[in-house]
Amino acid sequence: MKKIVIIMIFGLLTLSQRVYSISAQEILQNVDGNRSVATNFEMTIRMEDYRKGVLSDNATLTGFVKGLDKSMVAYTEPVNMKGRKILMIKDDMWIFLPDTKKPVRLTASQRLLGQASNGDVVKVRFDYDYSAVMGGEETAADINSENRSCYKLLLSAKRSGATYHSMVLWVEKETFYPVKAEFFALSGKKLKTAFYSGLKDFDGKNVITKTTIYDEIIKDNYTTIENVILKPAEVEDMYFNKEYLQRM
Amino acid sequence: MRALVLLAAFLIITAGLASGEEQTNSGAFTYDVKVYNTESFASFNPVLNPGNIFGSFSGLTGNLKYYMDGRWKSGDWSLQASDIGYLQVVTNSPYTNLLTEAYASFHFWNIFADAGKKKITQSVCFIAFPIDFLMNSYNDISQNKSYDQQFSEGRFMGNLDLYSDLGIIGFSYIPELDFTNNTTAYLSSAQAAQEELRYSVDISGVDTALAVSYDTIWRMGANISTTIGDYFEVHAEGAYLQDITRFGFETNQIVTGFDPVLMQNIYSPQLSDTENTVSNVYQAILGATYNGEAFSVMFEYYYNMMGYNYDQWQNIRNSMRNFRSAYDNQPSNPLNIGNIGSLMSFAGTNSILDVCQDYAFIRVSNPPSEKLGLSWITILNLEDLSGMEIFEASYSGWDNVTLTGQFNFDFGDPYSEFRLLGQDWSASIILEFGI
Repeated sequence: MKKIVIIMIFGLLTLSQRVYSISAQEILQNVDGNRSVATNFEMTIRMEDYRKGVLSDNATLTGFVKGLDKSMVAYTEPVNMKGRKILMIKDDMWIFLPDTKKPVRLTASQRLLGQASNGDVVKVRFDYDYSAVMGGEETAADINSENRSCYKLLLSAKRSGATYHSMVLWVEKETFYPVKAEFFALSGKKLKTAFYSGLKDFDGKNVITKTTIYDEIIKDNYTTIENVILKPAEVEDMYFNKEYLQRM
Repeated sequence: MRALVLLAAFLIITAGLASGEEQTNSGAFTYDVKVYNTESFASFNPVLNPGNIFGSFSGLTGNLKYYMDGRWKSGDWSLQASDIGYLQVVTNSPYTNLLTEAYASFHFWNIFADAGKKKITQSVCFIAFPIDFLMNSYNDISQNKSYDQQFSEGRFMGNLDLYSDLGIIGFSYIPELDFTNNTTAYLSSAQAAQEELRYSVDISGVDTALAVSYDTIWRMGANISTTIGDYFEVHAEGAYLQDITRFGFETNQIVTGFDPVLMQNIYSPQLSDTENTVSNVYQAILGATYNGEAFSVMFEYYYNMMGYNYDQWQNIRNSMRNFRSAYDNQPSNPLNIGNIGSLMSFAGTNSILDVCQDYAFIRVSNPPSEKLGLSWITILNLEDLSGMEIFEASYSGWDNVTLTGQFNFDFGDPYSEFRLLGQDWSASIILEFGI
């Protein structure tokens, strides 16, 4: 009997190794790779907020990402937001208001536009902020209601600066493209659902460029975040300093 | 009138440019133009102005401000200039202009060299800015502090900033300049000679800044700020000033008559302005912020040794009560009118937050990215328990226009700081048009 149990446990372990030959964290790293063009890059982001399906607000931001933990975006539109900059260094985030020339601290979870939080825009590496465990395999519908065979990853924040306390992320098995995510608060309440789409070729690299975040209650309310320009760039370290913001 | 025509012409020209950004082979030029029209009604009836003997301070005011900011950047060079113009519309006071910044920067290695008029700020606080030793504040006390700082001007200086892995080291040299003629007065306030050495560094997530400055006295300051957990931020800032000059008043006994029965002079009190030097002055601010998803709450405690302590302030307030009482008993006596006038003059030489030593600041607001910005600010003098409430709602949902409504009221007894220097209440509408 004892031998049978040992054989069963060994069998299950072998089976799980065979099925998940890649770890959840490695899948997450692949997802990050599919959302950016390089370790350091420039980006132009177009955000649109829809209320009851009608465009109600929009913004354009340009900025830089350096490594895992540094990014900076500046509003270029609309006019009354122009000159505002958001800087992220590790777990710290500041908004620079040109009127006062003073960086003010923010948190990643505060709303930026519509359904989108600051962290949805300036944090581009899930692997840096979240620990992932495998939640099995599931078929998930993408934003066009097409079914995709996915890994289901259960993500929990490993840093205080993470945008959400936890996430469930569905990743297409074949390509490691993110398909869908659900974001949760500390209380366990589901906050938002996001869909990933907009596969585009940037200099020979396919990148998922669009995130659509839906209100949990009013489904016609949603916000899109689209990387319209992504370009590898060597970005100087001094850009990621709150004292430097007024020089940019 | 001429100023209005100039302003209109300026707006037409800038609007004609249509875009705030132009890229040419010789560099990138960006600019920002904003016009503010403010209409305010204020009610202000201080006890030192009984029966409006010095004229009424209440009423409607309107002003028009424009703010221009332009920047050209090419390679390692950049030029930047900011300017504000100000016109009091209702009272038709003369047009004023202030060049807040105008400097050239050159970047080489990890060093930035700046020459010209420049603002340098390091403070992490909101109620006051103890370590911003190089700021010339453009006084606009009808507005709240952040709005006030928006229109503060820089200083003409030579400045070097070195960025390194060990932090940022900055040095500024400010020459003495006196702008006395009519033309230069439109560009800048006079400035005294001053030097400052600064250092800022992030030590394991704690932002730290130091500043040492010398003009006619030594000033030293430091601040730290960091986050705790997901939602809390804490900050602290302190400054030391070698000495400061503080306005006050003295009561002198002067001869106002002769008593023929007692065969002696009659003495009455008369006020005269004085200047007192106080050595080894400290200022300190402790603050914390809760940044929630829907709203933020900031609290700051401000210790300001530049002001009067509790006993000194109580004595001044009692003197004011006595002189007001003397005036009420004999309103036609020129000496009593003169004393009340001297007290008004004394009040005028002080500004809010400089009179006393202990203050608190609370601000509740929603995130700065919201279209409908809401904020509620309370500033409290902890010595006389007077204070100010500022409610502001600002809508920026239109592309070029932001509309702000502001309502302030001051509370406390009539001889308290905010009731003596502030307004009983005021309401403002600010229309901001940006290009």
